[in-house]
Amino acid sequence: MTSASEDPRELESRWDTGMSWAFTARSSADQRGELRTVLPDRLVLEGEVARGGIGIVLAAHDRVLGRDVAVKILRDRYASMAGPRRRFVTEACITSQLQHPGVVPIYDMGLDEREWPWFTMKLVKGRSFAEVLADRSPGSPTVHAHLATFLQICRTVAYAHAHGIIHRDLKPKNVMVGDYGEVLVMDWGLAKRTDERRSDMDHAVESEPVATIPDERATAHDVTLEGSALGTPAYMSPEQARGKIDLIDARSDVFALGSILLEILSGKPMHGGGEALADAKNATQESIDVRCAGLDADRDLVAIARDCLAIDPDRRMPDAGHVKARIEAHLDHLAERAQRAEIEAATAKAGAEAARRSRRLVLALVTAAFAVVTLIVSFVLWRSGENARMERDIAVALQEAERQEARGEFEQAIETLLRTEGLVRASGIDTVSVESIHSSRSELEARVRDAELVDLYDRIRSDPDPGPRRIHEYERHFHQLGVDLRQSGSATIAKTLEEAGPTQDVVLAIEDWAFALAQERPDSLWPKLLRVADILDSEPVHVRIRGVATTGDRTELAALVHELTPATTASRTCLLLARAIELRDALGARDFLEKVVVEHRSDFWVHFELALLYRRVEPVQPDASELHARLAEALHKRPEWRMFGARGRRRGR
Amino acid sequence: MTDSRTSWIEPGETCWHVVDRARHGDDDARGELASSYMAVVRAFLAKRWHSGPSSQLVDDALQEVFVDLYKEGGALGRFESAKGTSFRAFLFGVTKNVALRHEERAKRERSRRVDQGSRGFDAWPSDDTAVSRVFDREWAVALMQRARTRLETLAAEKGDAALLRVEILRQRFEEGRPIRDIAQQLDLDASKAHHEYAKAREEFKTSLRAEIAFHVSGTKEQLDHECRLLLDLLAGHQPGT
Repeated sequence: MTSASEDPRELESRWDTGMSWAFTARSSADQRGELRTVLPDRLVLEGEVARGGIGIVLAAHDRVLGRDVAVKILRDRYASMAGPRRRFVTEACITSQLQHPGVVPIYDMGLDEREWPWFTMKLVKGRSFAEVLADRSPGSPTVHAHLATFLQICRTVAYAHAHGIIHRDLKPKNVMVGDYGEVLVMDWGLAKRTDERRSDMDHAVESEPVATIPDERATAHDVTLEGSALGTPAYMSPEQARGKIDLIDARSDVFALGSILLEILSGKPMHGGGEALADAKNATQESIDVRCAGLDADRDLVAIARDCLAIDPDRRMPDAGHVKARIEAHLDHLAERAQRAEIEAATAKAGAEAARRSRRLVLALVTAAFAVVTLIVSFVLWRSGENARMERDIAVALQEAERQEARGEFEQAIETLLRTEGLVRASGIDTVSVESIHSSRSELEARVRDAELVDLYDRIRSDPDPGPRRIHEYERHFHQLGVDLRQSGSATIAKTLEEAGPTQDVVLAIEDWAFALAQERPDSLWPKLLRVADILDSEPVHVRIRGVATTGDRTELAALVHELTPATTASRTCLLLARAIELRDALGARDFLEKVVVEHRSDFWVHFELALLYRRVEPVQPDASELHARLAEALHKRPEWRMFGARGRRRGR
Repeated sequence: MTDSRTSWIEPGETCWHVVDRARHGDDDARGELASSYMAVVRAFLAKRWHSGPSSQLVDDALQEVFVDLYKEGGALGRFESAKGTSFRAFLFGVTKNVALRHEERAKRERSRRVDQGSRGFDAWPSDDTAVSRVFDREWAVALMQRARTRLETLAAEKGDAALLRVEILRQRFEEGRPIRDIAQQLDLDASKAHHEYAKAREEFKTSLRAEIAFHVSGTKEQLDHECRLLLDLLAGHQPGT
């Protein structure tokens, strides 16, 4: 070691270096200090979840209400500073005023013993949209899934705009995508009111030289800037980048939405790299047009992005509501196309199936007819003249039965075959031939029974009242089939039901009955029904889902949600999973189905369940419920079926 | 040095008291030692074997240093004789012994498996003087950061004005902002900000001296000398270089 110079200036310079080392690496003291905030005893802290500009989010357990919550506290270094304190409180106030499923609900707010502010909110488990977009692993969400998330973001921001609030720092990092697919716009710390309801607090916040503190975990391009330029350069409108605070309004959020859409379509936001702020300041319409023109994406989406990213705010869409409407129209158009294609495919398939069934029946009937005719010929040989009329009658009857079967008039065909049987018997034809006809008739009768059963299940399940009425119907029906839920074991019940009808339809009905019971009477024997379903349908993923529904294992449930992406999972499986989620988190189930419907737009049951959830789960969304009810009606096999009774005044919309 | 926990240090304690408590099985004291000095030991081992073993082997040796400190009859057992000397020298000695033991073990292993063409642990050690210097420099960084922690802890006890001064230092050195910007950011008059900044610097110096006194027993002159040595060690090296 060498001795230090005694030159005071030199020595101070060395102290500078020493202090740089002291303050460069964030020591845990920083974190420890922040945790000195003394929260109410009811909150048991469980560790850090996220760290933002001025605050830290911690996971905690609320002992009184027995639920997990997120607690946001001010970082120690800002706790005693007026500006950050005001912004922190404003964030809590604005967030709590936005009652929307896309905004995390605030539960409580207070000051600790040192008068440092804190607030608690719903603990959202999931990933930021930035992480989701960065995920390129196999099975990661598709552009289509990202668009569904984007639509949710637009809906939330549209709601805020409609309530006179602008976010000012929209970016994928400030959007959480929950484990159940819920999409939440977070971090309203820079938000401001633009309408007359501005409070004194809002004025105070705006009048200070606003600066936000960079997130220590952020990369250069998504750091929220300090100084007069509010927001994050990569997503920032030109007026924001130039610090023209007076010009910042809902259209600045629209620009940020455009930049997010651009990132979804191209993998990169509007401005990137270390020069993002300079790029944002100096952006020209030409540079934006060039960027948009180079996109290898749906032209409709590119046009939406361009309309969000206009340099001149007057040429941008005025608020997020307009962006939302454009994206919805785009997705509806896609859905319509997909639906048309699916209906065509389904029609072709149904036609082929009908032809196949018809051929099979014709073969059976022809075989029977051949046997009968053979006998008739013998009969004729044996009893000539008098029997000729009988022979003709039988042949005509068999032909008629064949035609009726082809037309799907099964009951009439059965009647005809029954009559023919009588004719054959009356004419004394050999009993083997009678058995052939009898066998054809039995087969037809079984099919009719199955169809009736499926129709019954469809009627019960599509009853918009998922409660006692539905349960009563199931109980009555399965009681008639000999099911005794209290006295019999699941294996016995499964055995009883094996021959009751088409297994898959029976399983669906049993599951529906079980989930309806679980909702209405949680202490009932509904888990036994799911075990019965396991025996009848041992598909591993279905067994797993039913297991999770029974145990309520949240970790396993989250794993299933993660594994079963709607794009690659059958709608039947998605619906089963949605029902399992609904038992623990109805809103989560709704969020999940919102993703499912994007991939399974022509599935009646997906629309049906979603319409119910929009109607049943707070916050109720009547418009969305009606939309999906109408789609369900359009897809139902009985044209007269109505989800919520007669169509109301909005029918024409 | 990222998890220093000065709250477990009793007032008036030196690091030798903490060592003593660790020697008698006090988990807090052991945690304090490990979290405070792990980065220093790791940096030394990594530099010493920079072209040799994998980071896993460095981790193993790092573990061994602390096991050696705590185990019955280990390095802390010899602490009475070390007491009164510089803790830096003591820790350096223990670390170097463990490193030598690893190298010796690897040499034996290699000679046993020479015919298998095993590589692994044979490219060390690097130049001993340079390596010692790395240890000393990491030590200096560790003490600077402990000084910051001490300063923050004291400021939290003193109240808002002291916390504000720490914040000025943080913005000045962590974010590299000029004082006039900091003044604007914190709603302070510029001259007041400069005054508070000067005061904060003095408080940091006091804090560093207290840290040195925690690690080295001696007269005021000896502590000042140690302080200058620490500053010398860091001179010319900016964070991130």
